[in-house]
Amino acid sequence: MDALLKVKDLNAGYEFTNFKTWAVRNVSFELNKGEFLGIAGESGCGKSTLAFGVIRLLMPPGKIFSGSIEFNGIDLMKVDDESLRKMRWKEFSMVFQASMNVLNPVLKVRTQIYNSIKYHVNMTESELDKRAKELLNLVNVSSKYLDAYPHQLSGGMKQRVVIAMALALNPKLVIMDEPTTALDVVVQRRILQEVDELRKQLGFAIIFITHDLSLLVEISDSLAIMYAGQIIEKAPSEKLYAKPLHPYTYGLMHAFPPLVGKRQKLHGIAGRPPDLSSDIKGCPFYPRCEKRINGVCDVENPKLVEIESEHFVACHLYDGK
Amino acid sequence: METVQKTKNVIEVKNLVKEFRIGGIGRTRIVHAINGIDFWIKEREVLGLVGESGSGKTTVARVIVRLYEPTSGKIFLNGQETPLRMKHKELVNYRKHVQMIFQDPFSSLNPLHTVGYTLTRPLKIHRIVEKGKIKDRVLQILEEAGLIPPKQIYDKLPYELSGGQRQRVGIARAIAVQPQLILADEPTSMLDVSIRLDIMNQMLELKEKEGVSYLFITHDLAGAHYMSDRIAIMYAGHLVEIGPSDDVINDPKHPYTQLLKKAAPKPEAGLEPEKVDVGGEVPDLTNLPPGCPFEPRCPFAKPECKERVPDMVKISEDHFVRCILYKNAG
Repeated sequence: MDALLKVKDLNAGYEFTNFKTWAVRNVSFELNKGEFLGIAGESGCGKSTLAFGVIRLLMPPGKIFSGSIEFNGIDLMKVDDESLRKMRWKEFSMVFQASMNVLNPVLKVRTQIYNSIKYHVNMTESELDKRAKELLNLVNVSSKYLDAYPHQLSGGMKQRVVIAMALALNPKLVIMDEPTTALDVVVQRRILQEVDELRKQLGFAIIFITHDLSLLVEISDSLAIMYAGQIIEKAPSEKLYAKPLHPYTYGLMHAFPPLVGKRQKLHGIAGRPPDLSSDIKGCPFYPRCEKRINGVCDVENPKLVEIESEHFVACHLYDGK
Repeated sequence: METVQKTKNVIEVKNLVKEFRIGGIGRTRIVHAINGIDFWIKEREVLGLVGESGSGKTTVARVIVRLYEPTSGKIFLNGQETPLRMKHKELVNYRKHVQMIFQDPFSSLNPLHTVGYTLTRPLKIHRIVEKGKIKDRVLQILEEAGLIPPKQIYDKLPYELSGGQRQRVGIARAIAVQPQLILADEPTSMLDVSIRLDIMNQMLELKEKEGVSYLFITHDLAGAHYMSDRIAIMYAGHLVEIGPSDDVINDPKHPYTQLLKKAAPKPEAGLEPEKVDVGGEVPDLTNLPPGCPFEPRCPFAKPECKERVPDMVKISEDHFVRCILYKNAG
């Protein structure tokens, strides 16, 4: 398969006058065309910074320190701001966290969809109308809501409208940053199903960011687990679920109680993630890890290596295997 | 409902109703947030209250702790009926027995007060311990709530604490007066997945130690199952099903409970997700349909569902459901 997005040794974070927060540390990954990649991790592990970083959307004090990003054969690090602006929405788009607040409350849904299209392509009024109706149909919102204001829509409908806008120009990649966390379980499940169906139908790739691993396991092709700014494990979903290799992944998977079956006592992961504005010596998970090897894990940060085919992990437990 | 129980009911609610008036003069509308619910919680029992946002579950907690006055209905504490409208003194006395943990640990603590001050207040207001022993007691409570080392935590301001630690302060504040009932309003939903379990375990431990009962409000069915002895499912201001946790989760009766179970993520059941094909959303609470509130979304709806809200029927010991598909088991 062809890679759509190649990220190599990306370092990004936030630069302040007296200190620097290093939120993404040496991240490399590839995303194929039409692939659904889930990125999971606790809050503050750098997943949103990574998502903003790969489409160069980080605003000051946010900054990419080093690394390379190749999108569809184009080196994104070398593209100037104006061409980048033209590429956004057409080539890649983004659905933000709490998107219901993204809609302008004083503009009709129709105007907002028109605006996002008109900026990039020339269309006549009737073409715009046709496209807007198509888009709403795509996300199962009746086209009568084109002339409604955002407050007349429910949370789920607003989220669907925002997704429709992200798909307006048939992008090749859609980044979704916790798009469903503010929604109810039933609506959340419906929207995820619809997004997945649309992806199969229209062939765009998705990077889906969430802290809720249980949601991702069922729906994404592959999963990357982030901790302290690094990808510590990446594998196809079913492999990762069947056999989580990193102790942190294992902990995350057992941090939510199962719905069915016998009730038994479970434990979370003790401690908290390290401060990302400091230098971390050794493995960032070392202080919280139950399987740490003293003298190894606190000295050297493990590299992300392929242990089995397509299954990458950064952990000293698998050294020499 | 029959309420003859062997163990004592800490709280019992009968036909509780809460309405809010909204809108300007001449345009007032009534939001029917709670439409006549009945339940009880026994000593050392956890009742999970599950529903989508807007189903009225937070309102239930706020009415019981009397942050809102109930519109009508009866609330019994230890078998004694409590007045619907309370004077200040009655309220203070009532809250010695009923406390609340709030959803948002970031906004429920005063940012200008140290943890020590926050925990000293309830002890002073309710005159729980002698003046000279207050600090010792606060340190003891901090330790019980898993805030270690208590002496350092005592002088900290909320911004110096992590989300999980703040929620522990919220828990400590609730247990400080040694209440009989704690209303926990989604105490873990704002926390990271990795620490949710620790907070839930802490609450369960305190239940055993302090002999407290909980109303555990959540939208997460799996979390409710983990915490609760019994689970109540709420929809549009009605309880639609209530019963022992295992029964409600493993064999849900009400179509809405079945829908919730289908929609909940459950990777342990295999990687092929179940399709959720029920559309629609929660009805408008200012304009409720006269019949069953779930009828517009229900895959089993019949014409008579539109006519009136079905009665609660008892299908087995302690298991009740509000749906015409079921008959009284006697």
